[in-house]
Amino acid sequence: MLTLGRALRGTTYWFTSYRRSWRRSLVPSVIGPVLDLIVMGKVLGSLVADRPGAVERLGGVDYLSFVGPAVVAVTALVTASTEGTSPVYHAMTSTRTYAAMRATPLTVPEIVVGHLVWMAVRVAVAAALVAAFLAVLGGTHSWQAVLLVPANVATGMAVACGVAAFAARQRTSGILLAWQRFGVVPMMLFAGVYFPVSVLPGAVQAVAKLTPLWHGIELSRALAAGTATVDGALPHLAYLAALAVAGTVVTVRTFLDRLAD
Amino acid sequence: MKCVPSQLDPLVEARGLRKAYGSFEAVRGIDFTIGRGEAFGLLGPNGAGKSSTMRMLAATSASSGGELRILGLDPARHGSEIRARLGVVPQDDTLDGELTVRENLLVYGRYFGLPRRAIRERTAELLEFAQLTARADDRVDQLSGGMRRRLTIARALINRPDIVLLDEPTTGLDPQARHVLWDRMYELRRDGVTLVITTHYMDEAEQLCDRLVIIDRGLIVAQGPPRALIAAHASREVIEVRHDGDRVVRKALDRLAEGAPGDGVPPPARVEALPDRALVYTDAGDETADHLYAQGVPPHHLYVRRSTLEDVFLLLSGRSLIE
Repeated sequence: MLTLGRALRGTTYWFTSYRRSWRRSLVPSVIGPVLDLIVMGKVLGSLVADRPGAVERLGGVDYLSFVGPAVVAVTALVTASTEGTSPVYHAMTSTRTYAAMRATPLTVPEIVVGHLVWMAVRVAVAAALVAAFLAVLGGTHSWQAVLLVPANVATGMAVACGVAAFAARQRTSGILLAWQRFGVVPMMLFAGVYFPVSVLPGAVQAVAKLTPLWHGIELSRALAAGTATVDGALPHLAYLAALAVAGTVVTVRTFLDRLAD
Repeated sequence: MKCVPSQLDPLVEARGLRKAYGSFEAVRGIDFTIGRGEAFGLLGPNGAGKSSTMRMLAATSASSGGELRILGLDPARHGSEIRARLGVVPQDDTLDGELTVRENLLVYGRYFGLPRRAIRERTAELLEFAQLTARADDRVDQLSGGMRRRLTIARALINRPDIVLLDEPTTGLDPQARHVLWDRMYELRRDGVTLVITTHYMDEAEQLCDRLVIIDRGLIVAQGPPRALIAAHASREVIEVRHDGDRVVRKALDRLAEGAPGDGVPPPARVEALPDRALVYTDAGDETADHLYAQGVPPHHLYVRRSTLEDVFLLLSGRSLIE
């Protein structure tokens, strides 16, 4: 059974716990992406600008406007991956926070949803900070860019909801890095952050388009440019939402199994 | 508020309760009721089924058979409502070491949906109760084991529960910390809070519980008030006699075991022979001891004591080590 009101009771814990550790999250969630915007968007962008035909190949925008919205999507991916792995693993094994919650009126689905809601808040805040910095640099061109935040909450949750199941299943923490290495890094390289996926061979392109990051990037670029339409955005949002729902179902099942007495 | 224990108003009713994990049956059909205001003990060796029973009572573990009503509700359908009225002190504490004492109480109170203001007021009372007021703003990982246990108990009281479940509350604590904890549990008992305690410390069960059941291999082997169990299954006193193979002492013990000590000494209820020593269960400890002295048993080989639940427990569940 699941009631949202009860699920939200858990967020007080996550917030209180985060207040102790927020500094640790600055590097992956804010400082890293901001440096990415400066180094890639501005510095590398100045080199790209001199190449004939560059603007056309990037879809009619300068390199900062091409890479910047993608960095917002990467921020969501990285924040969701951080929040969806280590805190889940520790709450399951070392601090046993979930076991503590289990002894209270909260049901297992409520425990899961409460934590996922908190992850969504974390993704939203990180995406908003990086999107704001992008706007300051001049990488956004429309008020639609405000929607970069909800769009990338969708990107983040498409990842976090499922990754939480992976983290909840582990008995040792070392393997958590596997997701960063074999999930996050390849996505950042091949899902079209730094170059359009159209330059990739067809098969790789097809795989890239299955990643949540690619859908998040497509949404983000259209929103930053002010060219997004409901019809254009809907398939991407539906795909991200489907991943989030499927991930949540798997995570709830994993939690039911791990928290069963 | 003082509540009188009443069998008419049972808070917990278990009938034929079972719990299986795969093909292993941890609890094999037990019956008990727990009345309001009672301090109820579950005793048993490791692996007896105490913790499995506790988890079913906590409405976090589904039973595999039999009937269980907690607060008049079916835990399979009303788990959340039941848990809202329970206080749980788990065996391994689930406090967050990085948070302060106060923060731990706050987040836990929120799980019950209590408003922050109500939690703040309740926290002051509970810190006083747990003797942790001075440590309110210290991180939990700076507390001693005894303080952490007291905090866990305080935390379990945040929702003013109808029943508090304490799973081996004093395991691993030093004697001082144990006694401080006992005081806290006495206070709860005096205030009419219904307690369910599992323990393998007999002195704890004897002092804290109004009534208890002894579980062994998933079945109840005895139940009743501690003194009644001792009366039914042990004698008033126990004489521990160490013989170390000494012929004179063994001979005296043999005569006791045959039930014919002579000299007008009443025969013992039972003599349990152990390697190098024997336990003599009798209602006439001093007389029997004097008799043994007269037979030539050296005084330092002999120790008369009041019988305890430990004697009942060992009698009923055997002496072999259960790992």
